[in-house]
Amino acid sequence: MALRLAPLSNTERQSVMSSLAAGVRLDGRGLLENREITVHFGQDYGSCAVSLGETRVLAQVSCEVVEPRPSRPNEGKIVTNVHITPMAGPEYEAGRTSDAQDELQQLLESNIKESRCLDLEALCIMAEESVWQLRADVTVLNACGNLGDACNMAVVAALKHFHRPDITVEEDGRVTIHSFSEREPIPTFLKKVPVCLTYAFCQQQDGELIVFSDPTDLEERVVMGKLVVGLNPHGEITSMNFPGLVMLDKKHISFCIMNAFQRARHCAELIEKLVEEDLQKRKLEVHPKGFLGKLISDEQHKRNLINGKVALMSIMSSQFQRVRDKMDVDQNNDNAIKHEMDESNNHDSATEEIDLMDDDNDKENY
Amino acid sequence: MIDLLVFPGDVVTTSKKNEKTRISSGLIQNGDNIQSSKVGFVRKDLRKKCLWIDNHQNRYIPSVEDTVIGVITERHSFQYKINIGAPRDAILDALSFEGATKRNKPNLQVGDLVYCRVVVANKHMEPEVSCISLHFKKEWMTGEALFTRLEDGYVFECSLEFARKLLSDDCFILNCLGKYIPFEIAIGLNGRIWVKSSRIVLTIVITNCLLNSQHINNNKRMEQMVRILLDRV
Repeated sequence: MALRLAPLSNTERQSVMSSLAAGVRLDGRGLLENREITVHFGQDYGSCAVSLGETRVLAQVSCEVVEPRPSRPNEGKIVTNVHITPMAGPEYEAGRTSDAQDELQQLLESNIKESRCLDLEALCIMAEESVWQLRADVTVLNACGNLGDACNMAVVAALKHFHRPDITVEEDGRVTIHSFSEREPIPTFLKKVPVCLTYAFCQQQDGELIVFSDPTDLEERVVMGKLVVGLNPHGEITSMNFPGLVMLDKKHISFCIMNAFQRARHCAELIEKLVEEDLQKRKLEVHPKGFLGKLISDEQHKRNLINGKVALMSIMSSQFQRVRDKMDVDQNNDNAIKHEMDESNNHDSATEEIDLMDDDNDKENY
Repeated sequence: MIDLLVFPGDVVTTSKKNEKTRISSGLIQNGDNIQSSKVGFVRKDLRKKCLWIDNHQNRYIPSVEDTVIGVITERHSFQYKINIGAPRDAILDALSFEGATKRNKPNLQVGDLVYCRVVVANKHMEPEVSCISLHFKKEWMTGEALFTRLEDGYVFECSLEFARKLLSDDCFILNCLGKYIPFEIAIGLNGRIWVKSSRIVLTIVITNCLLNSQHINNNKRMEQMVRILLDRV
């Protein structure tokens, strides 16, 4: 039985709307700023955990040999599945598919399957007889807003990371599948990297629409409508979805899409870089460590982040103190004034260097 | 016995012939023994003069004389149903405001926030809350009553022990924030905190400072963290 969430109070609704009107979000981000993205890979190929701030998603890609579809005899198959259990949040019921699950299924289908981003003909073993079927299972570990982006990124990273076993086809048609120790596994080839970005719209009293990206769960409850756009850095839009009750003008949609194209390139590059890094590490290590020590709780993560930033600030401030002490030793008035001016300039430039970010999340600039 | 770490089932103390021991959350009476039902430290509340178990918890179990922040979910002619994060929604009588009569009572809407006090709390009945204070006798019309509707501002949830820490006498983070920003704060023992300040940006800074202070132990570092966040405004 699903637990109902605590009702949304008028105060929360008003504060979300007024903070958006002031151009800042409740965790200190800018309107078009994303939360910090971390991607960890597991021990097996094709296993990947993505966290977008507090939202966490786990994807696993596996493969098996099946008969191809009669209409497409020399193409492999790909199947995507999303599972949302009460682990993600108390408002989700066990066993019953919720609206969110249907939306995510459809999003992944249109972004991954219908966009033909995967080279399916490379997955063919023997035409009309046997092909590889790739199966991507996504489990939502924690639902804190913006599940679409997280699920899509997890599936794409897992697919890029996945390696399938090598095979030999005998003359009489028998297929032998070699284990990973016998022969090197073969990577999957993604022609294009699909990226999904979510924009939310909030309607103010004067009718103006405020656009912001990557909503958290509180913002999603308050917001009137969303635009979920799937695209790839080549310039193709693979899917567009408008859940909600907002009347959108052409200028809003074009603004979102322009912004999305700018960020898609960075997103895709980030995924490729992280997958490459992990694959390189695998070549060096005898036995990959996987998720060991990586999946830390939000509290621990925040503690590390905050203590790191504050420690850095205390080091900088003690350095300033030493500089100031050296300047004070000089008794000459004119020199003292001149040095004070220099020092305030130094102070300003140094504070710009430190990247004073809100302690709740790191900015990934897209 | 005080500040001792106990596990569920550990006997904290036995009841003595002429002494009365009041027990609160986390302790149950089993014959003559007082046993713990939670993992935590045994503490003595000096104001209420009772023993209780201090642990990390997000779920609120109501107990009498707790001050909580609730959200109104239903409105009836003579009472309101209010959500305080407990297993069952609480009841707030429409007349339980200082100086309220049938003709002259506050008009609360669904979704309003109310700072109130738990009056009845046991596992068999729905909890009851009230906005009448025993010590501060200002009428509800003046708007200066202690327990009242909370307007504007921002409310967020936290763990119960963080709310208790903020309410303790030697809370460093609230004094530190008060030096830089004037603000108003209401702390509910059900893990809800309401903050209000002149600008929404300042409210956001205060909220983030409070949430970050959970992870910092050093007072000097806390002050530095507050200054870092304020510099961004």
